[in-house]
Amino acid sequence: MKKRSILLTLVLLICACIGQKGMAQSKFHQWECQVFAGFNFGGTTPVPLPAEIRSLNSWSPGLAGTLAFRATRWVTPEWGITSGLAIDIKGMKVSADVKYWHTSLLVGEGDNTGTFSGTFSGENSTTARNGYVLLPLMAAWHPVDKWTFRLGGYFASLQDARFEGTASDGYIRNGGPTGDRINIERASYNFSDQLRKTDAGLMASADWSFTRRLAATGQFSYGLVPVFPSGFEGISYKMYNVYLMLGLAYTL
Amino acid sequence: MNMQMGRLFLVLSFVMAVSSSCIKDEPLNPEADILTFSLPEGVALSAATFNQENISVVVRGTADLSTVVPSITITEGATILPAADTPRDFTHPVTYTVTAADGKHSRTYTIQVVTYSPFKYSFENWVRLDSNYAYETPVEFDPAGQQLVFWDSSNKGIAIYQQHADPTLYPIHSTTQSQAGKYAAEMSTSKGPGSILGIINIPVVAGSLFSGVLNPLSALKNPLLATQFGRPCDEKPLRFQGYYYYRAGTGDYIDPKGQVLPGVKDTCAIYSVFYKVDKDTQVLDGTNVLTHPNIVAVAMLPGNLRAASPGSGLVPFDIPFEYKGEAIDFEKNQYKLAVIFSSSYYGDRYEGAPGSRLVVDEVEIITETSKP
Repeated sequence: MKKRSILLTLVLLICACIGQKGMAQSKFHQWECQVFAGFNFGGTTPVPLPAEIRSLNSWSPGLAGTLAFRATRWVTPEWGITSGLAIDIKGMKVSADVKYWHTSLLVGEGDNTGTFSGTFSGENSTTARNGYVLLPLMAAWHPVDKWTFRLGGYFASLQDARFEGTASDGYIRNGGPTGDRINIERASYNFSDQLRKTDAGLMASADWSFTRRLAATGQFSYGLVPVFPSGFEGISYKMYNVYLMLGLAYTL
Repeated sequence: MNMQMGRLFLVLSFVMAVSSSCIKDEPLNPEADILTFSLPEGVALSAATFNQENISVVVRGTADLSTVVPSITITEGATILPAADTPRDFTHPVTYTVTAADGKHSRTYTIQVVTYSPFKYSFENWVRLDSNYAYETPVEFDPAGQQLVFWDSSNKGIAIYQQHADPTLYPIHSTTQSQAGKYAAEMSTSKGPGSILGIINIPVVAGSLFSGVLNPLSALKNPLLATQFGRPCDEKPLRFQGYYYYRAGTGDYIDPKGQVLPGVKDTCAIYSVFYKVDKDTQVLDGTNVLTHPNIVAVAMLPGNLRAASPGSGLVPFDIPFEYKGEAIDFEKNQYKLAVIFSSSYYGDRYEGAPGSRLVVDEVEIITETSKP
């Protein structure tokens, strides 16, 4: 239902834009509307990587991407303001060797809820796939023919959350590094419902127009808000959405 | 030129992303463990038993303990005070403090030499053995008044995932429903937390109290390995006596999968196992405590008495040790005695009926050398 209404909003915006474009007469005060789609590469990651992460064994972006509508109001031939709406799925699958990784997990239900906490050493695999509705606000700069750069920020609302993983082939020290040692062959965790519902950060993009309507586009987004709220204890360090989207933009 | 600018922009983006993802230097080791501890062969009779920061070693009664140099290994990079090669006087418990390589974490170990096996258990003294948790464990004392860490319980395992501020909320705690003195030991069975991190399902937790060590090292793989039963014993046990009260939970009997077993009634466990220690078998655990070939004798509360204690209050039990016929030689061999109580007989497999309650008090092992 939610997804459908977001899609509907996108379609309406596109229609409105096309209508608007027909009416636009002035050479400089022009609306430029684009739709674009691309794949997201990156990670929901601590920045920089904390010392507990000893090596990255594998990383895959999954099939995650962005479908967006972007409208730019050109104030001068060189400068404009861009906003729009995007469905943005940020995902990754990463496996890392960790050492002395502090975690605190809720286990059990109802009256039997308790905390399992300690420092884990072993292999940690995380799968994240979080769907956001994203609203960018950027300054647009068109210094030369074929190239457009944008810099600004974004605000995003989490619609669909998945953040889960396993801890395996290692051990946990109960309560901390001086607690009892407990071997872990394979334990699973799921932090999906604990993710923060909003995200905001910096965004920069570059478009290279290789035909009149088509452009290759790259967009870098750098979350400034940790994806987990401050009271969250499952992972001891803060994590941010850091992603690069590569795709194609079509000017309407 | 334009192309270059664009490329530069993309490259910069990548550099930002990648440079912030560099692997840092390995953190300094925060662990501060005594990994192995032993006393010279002429002094020690058995390998050391570790229970968190309590290490016990059985020594020869004739050994001179006043200047002994132990051999100790610790976590790499950690430091130990006093130095491991310092001669120490082990006639009283000694302590060592191990400080981790990170300088922030440390553990203070108490080494206790044991020349004495307690055979009378009144459950009067309950102590917080792990200062991180509120649960209490009964302790014993030797004739010189030194505290002996003798008992351990399933409280330690439960505290891993569930922390209560009130010690009486843990399944094993003291109760004033006693036969003599102020306290007795109470154990109860309750609903468990269910799935623990997708590793094991714990539908039911029973209260189990036993002589030995609960070592959670392999508990997630096989919970029966965690209960390491038995403490050194240098007298031949003849009878297992004491007082108990038991009522099975009136609700459903739940199996390890969380399924209700209709018609099944819970029973308690009260038994004692006397076994020989050898090079390959230092300790028996939940997988083999009633089946291992090293078992010399078993005293088991009979089935009809396991379902419920007769009468209303605490009632006496008196069970003979049944010997399998093997000769006992305290000169040649080392032996251990496991004393085991549980509010659910199969509680170590995470099955039982919530609500089952067992109280034990004034327990005694009558040995060949016991004074009448």
